Amino acid sequence: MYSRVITGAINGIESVIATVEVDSSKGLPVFEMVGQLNNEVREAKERVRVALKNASIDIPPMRITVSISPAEMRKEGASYDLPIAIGMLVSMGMIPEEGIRNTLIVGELGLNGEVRTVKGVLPIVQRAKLENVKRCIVPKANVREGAIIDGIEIIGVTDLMETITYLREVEERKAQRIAPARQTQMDNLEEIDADVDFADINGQEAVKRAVEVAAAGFHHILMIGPPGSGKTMIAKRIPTILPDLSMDESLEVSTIYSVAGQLDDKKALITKRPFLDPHHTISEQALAGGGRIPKPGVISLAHRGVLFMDELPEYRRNTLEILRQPLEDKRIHIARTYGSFVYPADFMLVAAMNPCPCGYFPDRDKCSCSEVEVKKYLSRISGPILDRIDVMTEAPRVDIRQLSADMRNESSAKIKARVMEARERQKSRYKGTRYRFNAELGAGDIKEYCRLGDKEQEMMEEAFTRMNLSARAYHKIIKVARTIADLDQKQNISTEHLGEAICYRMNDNRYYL
Amino acid sequence: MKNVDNLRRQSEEQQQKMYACWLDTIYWLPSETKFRLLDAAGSVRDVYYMTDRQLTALIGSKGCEQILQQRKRYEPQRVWDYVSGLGISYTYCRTSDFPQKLKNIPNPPFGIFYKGKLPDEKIPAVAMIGARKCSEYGKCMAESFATKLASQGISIISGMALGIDGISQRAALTAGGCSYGVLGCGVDVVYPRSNEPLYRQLLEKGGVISEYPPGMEPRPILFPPRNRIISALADVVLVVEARKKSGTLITVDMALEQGREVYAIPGRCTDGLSMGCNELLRQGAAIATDPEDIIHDMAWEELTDNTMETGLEQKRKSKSNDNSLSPMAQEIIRQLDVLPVTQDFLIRKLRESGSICGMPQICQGLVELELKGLALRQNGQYCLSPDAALNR
Repeated sequence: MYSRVITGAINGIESVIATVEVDSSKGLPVFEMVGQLNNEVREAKERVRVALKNASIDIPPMRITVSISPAEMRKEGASYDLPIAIGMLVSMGMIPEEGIRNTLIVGELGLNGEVRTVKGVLPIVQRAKLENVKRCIVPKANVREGAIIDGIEIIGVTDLMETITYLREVEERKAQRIAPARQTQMDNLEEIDADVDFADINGQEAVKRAVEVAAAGFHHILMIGPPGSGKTMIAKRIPTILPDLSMDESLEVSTIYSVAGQLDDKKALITKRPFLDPHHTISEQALAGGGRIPKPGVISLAHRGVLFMDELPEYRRNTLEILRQPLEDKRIHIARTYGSFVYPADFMLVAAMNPCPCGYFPDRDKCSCSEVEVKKYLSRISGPILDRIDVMTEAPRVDIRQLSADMRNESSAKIKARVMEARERQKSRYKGTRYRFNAELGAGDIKEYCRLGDKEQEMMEEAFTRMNLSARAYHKIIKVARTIADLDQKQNISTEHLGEAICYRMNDNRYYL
Repeated sequence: MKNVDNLRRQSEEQQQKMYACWLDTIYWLPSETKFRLLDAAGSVRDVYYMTDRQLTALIGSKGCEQILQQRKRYEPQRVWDYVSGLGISYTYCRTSDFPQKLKNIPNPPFGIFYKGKLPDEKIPAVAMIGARKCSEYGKCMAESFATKLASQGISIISGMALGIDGISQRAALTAGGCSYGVLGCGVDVVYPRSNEPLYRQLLEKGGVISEYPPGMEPRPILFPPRNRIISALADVVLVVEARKKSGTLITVDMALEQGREVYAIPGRCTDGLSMGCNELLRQGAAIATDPEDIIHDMAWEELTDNTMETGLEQKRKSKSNDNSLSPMAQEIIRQLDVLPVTQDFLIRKLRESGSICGMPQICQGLVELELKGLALRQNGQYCLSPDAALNR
């Protein structure tokens, strides 16, 4: 007999609907599987056989052929176990065919018959909905992840036996056996990290303001300062002032996390902007995404969030250069033998570094680095990377009086309120375009969205000649000025906004001396 | 008849120069030895034709061997052609164009190679020296002193090194003045490499000088002797910034031996980089708080060129007149100094003095000052520009 079960497969972060076809016929007892299967998929054979046996289901000696399509795609992972098992039972007539109609099944089987968690449930369910699938049977642990998608039944199962009984049930009584998961259960699953707040930071007003500007326009930012000046502390607090994720963005981010296998029962939907701070020893593959069929790298996991790179010059040069394309295109192309994959990587780069190898330049009492050493240290970051950073700020050494002083600092909530307002202004301005934040504006569109008056134009010209700015710096300043004007709730960019933006510029050819 | 005599004398001098140049390219022979040879032989050409025995008697067998080797290897004419082919000039102690100031010092150089010009000895010269790893304060003081001195027509002499040396010379040239670099390597070798632009400017508007032959690579041992030439070429040695144990102080010792005036710019007594200067002051060096002081003390008013200065002054005045500053910028400039400060420091100071301001306003004010040339941004910190500082 023949049966056909729909399941999902992940290719990069795209998901496709796959079908598991099972044919069991008379003949020598053979279990054959075809369809470009990876090792872990091949091993499904043993897991399925033992799981069925342990669920007290006897498999009569038959010739069983399993084919997973689309055949041209390489299959990976253990999520085919459950559909194969169900397919076998249907083909042998142990489950009625109506039971699996319009039902997508994913899940890994344990030898004892339990259904284990799999990666990528969210994109699979998303795809299933597009293909008008009515119901998805997923491992219990992934049920909340799947339930994010509206308008499709999500059934969580814990073991094989439960699945079988569910599928044998007549349609009307199915809902009584296992109720479809509901989306309302999803809210506030993520623990809120209340420990960090901008109110903890004394001093560093200039940096705090720069960070606020950067967060409001999603500009990349570089902080330079001696060790212990609070760069890391400030960076860690940036997520607390970033605008909230919209539902669409949240889904996008969750999809990436789902594919990376980082979603679970407790954290089914990413509702906060991600914050990733890879150590500087990170490999190129880990940053960009690696593997024969690449898994999303750190830059993709930081999508719509913050990628914090502390001690920027300490990263290997090759690793840093990887950032070039993602910083420009907001996504990364990875080509492998099995095809080319595109992962989104639209993150806000927050970088921190010391000004010199010892960290104390220009404080000559403490710093003993020679001029050459200082220059060499700074030149470890290539121009193209620096070019893409809009906001540069200095974190000076904080003196002890400021640290111990009991200052009342602004809380993250207050700053966030301002950032949100600026975000709203951007949203309404860029309605109907592909832009979301000022930082994304291309050179051509700057003219349209960031008009300068005569006085402002004059100021820019003066700054241009006096400060030796490059064309790129010119555009960066205007973009940042646009964000500052948004923070100021102003329609037009004025000289004050430009003035502040110029303050955050990067000296083009050389930073020090 | 007189003309012919003159010509003959000139060509004779040229000939002697050629032989001197030949002798001077034996750089491992100390200049003292060269003088001894010259004195004994009467002229450099005669040194070339000295016999082995004469040489050995005068300077020992080792020195004799070196001269013989050099004689075997290079023809004087070839050496001369090679040197002039590089665009390098040479002069030695017996010629008229050799700087007088180099003659009357202990251990004078036998000859010097130079590119560009030699300093005009009628023009007063100040040697500005200091630490290679200087502080912002040192940098700023070097800039403002060099600018002011150079704009009055005083030459700035230094070693074209990193730090104070280069900063002073660069500032002097930018101000339209004259500067000379005395190198610790051949004059065709640019060291440090990062001073390549300065080197080229020096060739245009001044000169580079060295007692070492062309092609000589810089070595630590070569630098202290060149310091004596720096101080000798100058009338005044100005120490901008030096640590307590600093190479700069070697130059000061030499300057004192040579009878040059020594000035030091005072610093705070806790600053490591000012301790050398403060120590000099304690020992009796003159204090330099304003370039005018040096000019006045040395009675250079007659010699210096005031026209340039007034031009500069006018430029400054027009600059500060036509653009009136915003109230915020005025408040900020009152708090600024030549020592760079951070924005955080400024905001604190301003708040202490009772003004209500936020970071955005500070940034705007600073950029306004920067655009008007009154403030400078250095390493992310802000200070008064040397112009504005001297105009206070």
